[in-house]
Order: sequence, then C-alpha cells, then structure tokens
Amino acid sequence: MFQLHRFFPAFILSFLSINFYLISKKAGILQESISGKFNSFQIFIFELNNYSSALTPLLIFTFFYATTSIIFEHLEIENRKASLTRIISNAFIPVLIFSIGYLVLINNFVENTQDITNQNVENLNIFSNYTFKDLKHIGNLCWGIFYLILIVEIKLKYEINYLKSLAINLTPTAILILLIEIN
Amino acid sequence: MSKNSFLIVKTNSLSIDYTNSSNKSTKDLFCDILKNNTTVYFASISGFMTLGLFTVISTFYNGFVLGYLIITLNRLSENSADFLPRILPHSIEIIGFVFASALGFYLTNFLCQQYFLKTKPKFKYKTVCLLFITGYLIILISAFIESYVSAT
Repeated sequence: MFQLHRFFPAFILSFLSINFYLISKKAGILQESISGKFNSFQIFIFELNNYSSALTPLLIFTFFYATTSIIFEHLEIENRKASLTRIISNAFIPVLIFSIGYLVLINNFVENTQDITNQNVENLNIFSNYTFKDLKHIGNLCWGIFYLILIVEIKLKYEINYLKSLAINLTPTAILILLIEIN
Repeated sequence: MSKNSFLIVKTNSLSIDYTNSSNKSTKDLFCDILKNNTTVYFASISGFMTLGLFTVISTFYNGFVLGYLIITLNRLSENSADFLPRILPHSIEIIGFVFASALGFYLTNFLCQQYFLKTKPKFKYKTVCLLFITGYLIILISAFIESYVSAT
C-alpha cells in the first residue's frame, strides 16, 4: 500500500524551501522599495540569494542528519531505533508555520506599502503594531522550539538521557559557530 | 526583459575600490578584507558538516558572482585594462577559497567513508595541514595585495 507518511520529510522540506524562496523574493522587492531601483548586478545577486534561500532548509536538514549520525556512531547509540529523518522533519514544523505566517505578512506589506524610501526595515510596522524586529524575535523563538523538539524527541526515541541529547544536538552547532566566528 | 536591458549597469557601482567608498586607513581595510575572507574560508571548510553541500553552494555562488562581474564589465568597458587591475587581486583569493573547498570536500569524503560506508580510510594529516596553511597564506597575501597595492 502507498505509505504517505514516508513522504512526510520530503513534503516538509519542499514546502519550507518554496516558502523560503518566496520570502526571499518578497524581501528583495522590499529592499528595492527602500534603497531604490536595483541595477542589473544587484538583480543578479538577489536572484542568486533567492535560490540560496530555497536550499537553506536542505542545508540545515543535511547538517543535523550528518552530525547526529556521526555522534551516534561515536557514542555507540543504535540509530535504527527511530527515523532520524522523521525527527528532524517534525522539528521543522514550528519553523514551517512561522514561515507561512511571515510570507503572508510580508506579501501583504509589499502589496500595500506606501513610500518607505531610506527607512530602517527593522522599525517598519509589518502587522498592527508589530515591527520586523518583533517578527525576527518570534522567528528566533521558533528556531529555539526546533532545537527543543530535536532534543526531546532524540531523548525519548533513542532512550538516552537529556544531557547526552543536549550534547548531540548542540555540539555541532557550537563547533560551526566557533569556526565561523573565530575571527 | 531583453538580454541587453538586463545588462544596463553603472560601472561605478560595481567598483571594488574600498578606499573610495569609505575613509578607512589601509590597515583597517586590510583587517576588514582579512576578516571577511577568513569567514568565507572557514565557512567553506565547515561545509563538511553538511556533507559538502554548503561547500558546493558557496563555491558556485562565488564563481557565479565573479563570472557575472567580469562578463558585465568586459561588455561595458572599451578597454579591459580599465577594470582588470581591480578584479585581478580577487583571482588570488579565489585560489585560497578553492583550497578551502578542497579541504571541505576531503573531510566530507573522509566522513562518508568512515561513518556511512564503514570502510576505514586513512586520514592524511599532512595533506590537510598543508592545504589549510597554504590556503590561509593565500588569503592573507590577497588581503595584503587588495589593501596595500590594489587600493592605493
């Protein structure tokens, strides 16, 4: 029988990729209304950025899948107990919900915006009294929930303690931040 | 949009002349360029954590941007000597980024063989160290050329 749940991770990733692409596209239009008409080089860069944004969910997914699998191997944790793909996809759900909301709001803002030339994007009201800065904080909260789901699900499904689960999920991110922020 | 209208650019806005756009000292400029390139260098190496995916994206991104810039400037300018002195110093740092990509791919290959294919490959410490040091030296030299030679 055709098992739909097998396609769940692919569905989440594809949906998220499309959302990220559209948000990046709308953000480009917003940037153009703030800084003035783009020249062809800027158009090219923004188009490249849109495609890079579409690949971001896949990048994050691969990062967590690869690093978690490697740490499992080191700690000799049986990784067949549960599907890591499914766990990472589940963790993406809050981010997906946020990205849908953000896309709707930014689309609405871009369509109905007045003159915003040379204004600071962070202080613009995107919805009611909420600014882009507020939305950024909500976004950060969703990424926090992403980590929380990963930590809890890995602890429960692989039957390890919270400290191990915390180390498995946070060590790769810490190494990455250290490598990039080293200078 | 026609091909020609897409290529309407202001040559000045594409200039990679840091000293004209800001009043930074050569030392500050050197530090800024080195800091920026070091971030790209380490980000490219750390692409092994995404099984080389980030390394691929980063290499293609840099290649596309530099390629587009050279083609556009070449079409707009009557004499390539007008823009080549500004572009050429960047070709040196590209070699450094290629070294970083090679390192990223080497580590990806090693991890895939070690953890996913379960073959026990030998880690070539000497090659990795040599690639890392040479690559970073190139980044250092290119930052020096860009700030002390090209920008003056």
